[in-house]
Amino acid sequence: MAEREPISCLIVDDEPHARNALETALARHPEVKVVGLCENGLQAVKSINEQRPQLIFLDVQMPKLDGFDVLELVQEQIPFVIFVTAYDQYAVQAFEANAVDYLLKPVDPERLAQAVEKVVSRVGLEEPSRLQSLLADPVRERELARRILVRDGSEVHVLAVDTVMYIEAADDYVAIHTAQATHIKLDRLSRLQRKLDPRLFCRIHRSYLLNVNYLARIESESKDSRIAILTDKRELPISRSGYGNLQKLL
Amino acid sequence: MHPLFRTPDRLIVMLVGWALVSASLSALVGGIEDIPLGHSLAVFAPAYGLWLLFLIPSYYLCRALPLDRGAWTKVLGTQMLILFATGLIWALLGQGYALIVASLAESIPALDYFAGAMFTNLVVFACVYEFFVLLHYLIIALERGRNLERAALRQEILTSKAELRALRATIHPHFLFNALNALANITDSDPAQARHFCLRLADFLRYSVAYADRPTATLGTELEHVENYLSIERERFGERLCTVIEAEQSLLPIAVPSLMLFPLVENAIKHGIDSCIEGGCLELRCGAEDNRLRIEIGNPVDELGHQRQGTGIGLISLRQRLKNRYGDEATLRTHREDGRFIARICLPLPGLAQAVE
Repeated sequence: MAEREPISCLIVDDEPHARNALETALARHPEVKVVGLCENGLQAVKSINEQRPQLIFLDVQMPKLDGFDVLELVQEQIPFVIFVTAYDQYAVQAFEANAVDYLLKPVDPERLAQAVEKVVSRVGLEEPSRLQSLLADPVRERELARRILVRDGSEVHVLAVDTVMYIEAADDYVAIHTAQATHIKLDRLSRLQRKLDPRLFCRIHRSYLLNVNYLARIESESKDSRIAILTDKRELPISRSGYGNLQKLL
Repeated sequence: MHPLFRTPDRLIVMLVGWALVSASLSALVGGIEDIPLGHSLAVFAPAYGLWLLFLIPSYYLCRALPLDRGAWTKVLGTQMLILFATGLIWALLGQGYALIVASLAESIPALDYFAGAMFTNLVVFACVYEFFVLLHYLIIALERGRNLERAALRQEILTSKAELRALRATIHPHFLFNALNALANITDSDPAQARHFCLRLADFLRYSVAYADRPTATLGTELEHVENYLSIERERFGERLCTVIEAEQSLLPIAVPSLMLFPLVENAIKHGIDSCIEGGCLELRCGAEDNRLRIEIGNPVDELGHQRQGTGIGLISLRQRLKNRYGDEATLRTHREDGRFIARICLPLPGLAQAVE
């Protein structure tokens, strides 16, 4: 073990004492090296993006972006994850997110040693999971989203769903259009649609999910070809089944 | 005590009533048996008066033989047996009385009358006795119902008192849990700070316990309590939590409902400051205007942050307490304004001299 490079790790926790206590406890484990402390989800996304740590100790309950939100945003470069949380209600969810381990606060030094051991044994042998199960995890979709999280490099945007005019599918990505900007997110339109309020968002086309509050009118070009005119004059195609969906909703 | 004699006026009514019943029964039986009215009154009425001696104890017997527990047959059998026994005893007593009447007034053939009307008398006695047995069971059932109601009412009062107490002193387990976690984190790194933290926590708990029973506290002690709470939370939030507490010195001795500020401040932390990534400033200001005490608690809130589930019980119970104490004179209103949540309490301002209860 000794000749191996220490595993770079990041501590993410909104409580200063919790960060310091964990850092102190990890000082006893030369096989890991703390490369950064983050006090919230936004910093965590930035640090993961820029420093590419191999391991993160991730608190679940944090303001604005919780631990699971962070993982959702860094899907492409996810490191090994050890959740550190005060409550055990997230354990199932955490393991579904392929966490290496799940520690309860206050952290017991022996449990911490076990968790570090687990990571050490896995580094180099396997790639960290790509969180496939998190993407498909129904637990995360338990309630309708009030917001959509998007990331632009190291910057995170939290979009309120009622500011979203429409969402467009583009290969593996979706483009989320608000009045001000367009955000790209690695996601599938169908998955996003499941999380959004069906009374607000209507699939008007295979590639378009429309917030009906931004629909100004519908124009018919021919019997089977219609166009949605949005409140800011943008035009979106409506497919035949999409028109059916729209009629059902309105 | 027998329910029919529980009060003196009931006793008088009962005795007079029973005298009338005895007289009427005498007239009736006299009529049936062809006995002159004066004779039947003299021979039978006092004897019927004796029935009362048997009818009253029947109440206690009925209580000892409740209808719902023992089998019906057992109750019926026992009651019949007692009816026969009392009938027999009464017949003997009546016979004795007739002897006395006969020796006192030779013109009245009391013994003959008595022997002749024996069957009729026993039938009437049995009817009256059974009527009283039914009456007693009825009274017992009514009393039991009333007692149950009373017990239920008492229980309800006790429960609501306990609930009120508990609500006033509500310390969420999560708060204690977080506090202990924070303590575990600082014990190694900063023992002096940990000790200070323990003392604050002890002060906080002591106040919560002590004032759960007291309806009022001074505004000054309420603010100290809040400050204690905030100093504990500051340990957790670090620089994310800033607090501003302002109160005019002259307002501090004023009596206010105890533990009134804590639930509002706790909400401000839990649902406000903790939802904001940068944290924020909790502002608590107390002032007097138009002879009213005005307390305003404001905190930032991030609408798009994770919303912590709240029960809303804190606000509801505080509103109820204010209503109980001040009627419509006190208000607790909340609103949102520019990303801030604001709770405002207005209370009638009592004279400064008003003592704390």
